[in-house]
Amino acid sequence: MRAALINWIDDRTGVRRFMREALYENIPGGARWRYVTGSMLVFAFTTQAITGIFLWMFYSPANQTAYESVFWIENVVQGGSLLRGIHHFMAQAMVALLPIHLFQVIWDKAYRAPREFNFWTGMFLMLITLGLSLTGYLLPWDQKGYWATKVATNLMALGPGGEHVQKLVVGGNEYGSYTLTRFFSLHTGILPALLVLFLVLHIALFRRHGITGVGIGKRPDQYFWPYQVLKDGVACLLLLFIVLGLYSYFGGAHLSSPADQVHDYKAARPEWYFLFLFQFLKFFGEGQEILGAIVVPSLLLLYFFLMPLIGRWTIGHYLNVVVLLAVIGGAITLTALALNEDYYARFHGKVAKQYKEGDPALQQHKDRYKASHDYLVAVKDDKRKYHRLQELIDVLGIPPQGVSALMQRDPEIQGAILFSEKCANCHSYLDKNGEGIEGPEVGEGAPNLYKFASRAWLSGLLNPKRIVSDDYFGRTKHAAKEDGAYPTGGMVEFVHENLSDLDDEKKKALQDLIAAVSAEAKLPSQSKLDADTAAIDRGREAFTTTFACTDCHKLHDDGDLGMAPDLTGYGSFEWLVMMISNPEHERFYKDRNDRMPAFGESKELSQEKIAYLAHWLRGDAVDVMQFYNSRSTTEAREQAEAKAEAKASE
Amino acid sequence: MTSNESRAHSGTEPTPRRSFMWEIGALAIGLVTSLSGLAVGVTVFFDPLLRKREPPLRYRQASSAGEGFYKVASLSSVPEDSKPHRFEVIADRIDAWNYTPNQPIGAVFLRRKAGQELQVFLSTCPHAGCSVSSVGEGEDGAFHCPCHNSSFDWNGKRVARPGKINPAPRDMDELNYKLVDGDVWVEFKEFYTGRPKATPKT
Repeated sequence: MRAALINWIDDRTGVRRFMREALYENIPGGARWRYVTGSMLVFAFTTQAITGIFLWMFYSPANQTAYESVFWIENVVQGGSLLRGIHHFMAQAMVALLPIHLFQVIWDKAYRAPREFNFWTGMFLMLITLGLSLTGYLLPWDQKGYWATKVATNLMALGPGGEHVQKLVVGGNEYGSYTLTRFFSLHTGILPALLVLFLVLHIALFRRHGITGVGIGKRPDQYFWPYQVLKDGVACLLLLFIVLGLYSYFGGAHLSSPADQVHDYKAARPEWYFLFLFQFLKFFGEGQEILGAIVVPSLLLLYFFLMPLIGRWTIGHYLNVVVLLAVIGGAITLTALALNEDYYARFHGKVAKQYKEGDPALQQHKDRYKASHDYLVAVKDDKRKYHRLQELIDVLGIPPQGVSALMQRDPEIQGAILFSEKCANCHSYLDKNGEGIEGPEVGEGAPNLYKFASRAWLSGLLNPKRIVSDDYFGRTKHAAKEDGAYPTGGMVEFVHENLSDLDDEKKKALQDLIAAVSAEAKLPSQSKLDADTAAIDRGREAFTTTFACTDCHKLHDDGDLGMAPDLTGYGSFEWLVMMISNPEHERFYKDRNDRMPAFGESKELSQEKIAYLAHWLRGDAVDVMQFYNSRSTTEAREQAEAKAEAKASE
Repeated sequence: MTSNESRAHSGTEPTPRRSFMWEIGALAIGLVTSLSGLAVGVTVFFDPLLRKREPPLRYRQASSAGEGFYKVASLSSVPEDSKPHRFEVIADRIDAWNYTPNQPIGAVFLRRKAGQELQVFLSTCPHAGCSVSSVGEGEDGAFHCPCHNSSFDWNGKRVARPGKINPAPRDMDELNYKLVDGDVWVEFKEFYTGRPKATPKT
């Protein structure tokens, strides 16, 4: 019965002969482990096609949806992270397998006549695979993909007529939805179709010429099935394990924060397998990039295409082996160099004692340290943004305008960016471990504003040992002493003269005073501490009596304006907004202002941006849920008040 | 053994020999590796069946009229003419990754029978899911479906139209409502169409 069915099918399809030819391919010299690389690549490609099609069901290539849909795959869709992880790491494995396969073919002389076309179709397959990688990593529309693609497509414009090529690839002058749709159709349509076409040719030619056996006669011949198939299967299984291992080691395929076209991204790098080209490009000066980006790689590629012809002579074959090894070795070296530059700061201290002052090596060390440090900080910063975005989406959801709408309105993200851009020329924002946003390294500076107005921050300010340190007034006019007098350094004078060597009672009073002033800020992080109103009342008392702060400062109804900053609502949102807007206002420094610009008065920052800064400094938005709930109640109250006012004026 | 004897020949079936274990091994490993990607893909494909979509944290508050009720209109905006009037149902919409508050998610007919007594109909035709329209006046008033000629009177009961076959398997779907502070809250849901019994979609 079974035989009859098979016969019936075979009569109509010739399946038996087909299977026989497919499976019982003779392998001269027997099955060997060295032949597995080709099958591994086919397996990898098949996996990419399958996982790719399923990813397709969840992906949407447009400016407002690309990142959002990938974020959803990664964070919400059932099994989505694993699916994307396999696709991502298998792609990397494929690129890593290509040179191994190429090396095996060259080493075993499997590229020589009559197998030239095998080799040439293989070269095309390699180029198509690299094209798939290049188009693939733009699709998440994250920082990494965006900048890598931007650089790659800008390099395209170097050649003759390159600007037209670039415009065609990008879909216009701007990177946006058309870039995504173009790359998506290349990645999922055109390139896979080409790959399948060349793969069919490649395998057909391989079958026509048979395997280039190694050690023929030393071992008996074997059939492809099941001997080589088992070895191939084991190798593919190993590949799968490696991919799954990478997935669990890295905790999934990397997704950085969304493409940001405005701010500089100091961690802009291509994928690791293009790092060698990236590094190679650094050796070419102005006007010569075309050599590094196009001419040299093209010549090299041309040589590779000529390899089967050169390899006809034994000496040519050895030359080919040498060139291939040199290229692979060179690529590995360049990749190592690139990685070493990026991770330099992780393995070297900031201070290099082995170099003397004036030694050019010292400057080199400083430059390398700085570049690497910037890179590492950018990577960390990117992670921080991504985690923040996860929290925002968890609480607020993704609006139809996309995640950029969430990020542009979030004080935690915008505040840090604004501080780096506008404030870090003078101020730093560094925690105890020295992590955060760095201010100027030398010269004039301004206080470290990390946890400004908190009890800890004020304790430092009122500490005679610390007030003239870099964290406070050390690099400002307020620390300056002129002819024995303190023209603008009254606070420093006061702290040094009145707060040194306090007895226990006064120490206690100072603690209460700090609590009282800090309570003015109503910082969310101190809401529990601020509930101790007894201490705060004692502190208010000490403020006016024990320490006579009201001689200079105003606090609510005590003291007068004009001498020193008003401490009423010190560090509160309203106080900070006003201070950032105009530090020369009579509530603050008036003519004693050091160098702080009036960001609001000069319109350098909009009120909205000043609000982001103030919220960020205070840590108002750390708890997303609390912040947005309180903000919506504030907004609702303000709207209701405005309505009531409008009604009243009618 | 000479090399000639040992050489296999491409495309010819080998004589049975001790390759059985090899075959089993190759088959098993081949299947596991080649199907793994597919297995993950299929798992992900079933995402719509496996996961319940929740609104983001900030918006997870219960409706003040109870679970599943949406505010549709104020009672005073429903005309006292015993005709059905179409009203949009506004709710928060979850569409793939997007969350959009206050979007129209469907429509209902509100009909004031007498005083505070209302009738609420889903505007979806129970036959194949087209959106029905209210036509005519008074005694001639009816709901007509523009697709396959389903027809209902203003009480939602199926009625025959001269020369037309009425394909509706059931009367129009009536929805529960509540009056809270002068507003009409409707328990909005969609039902599977084409069945004699109304089964809500979950």
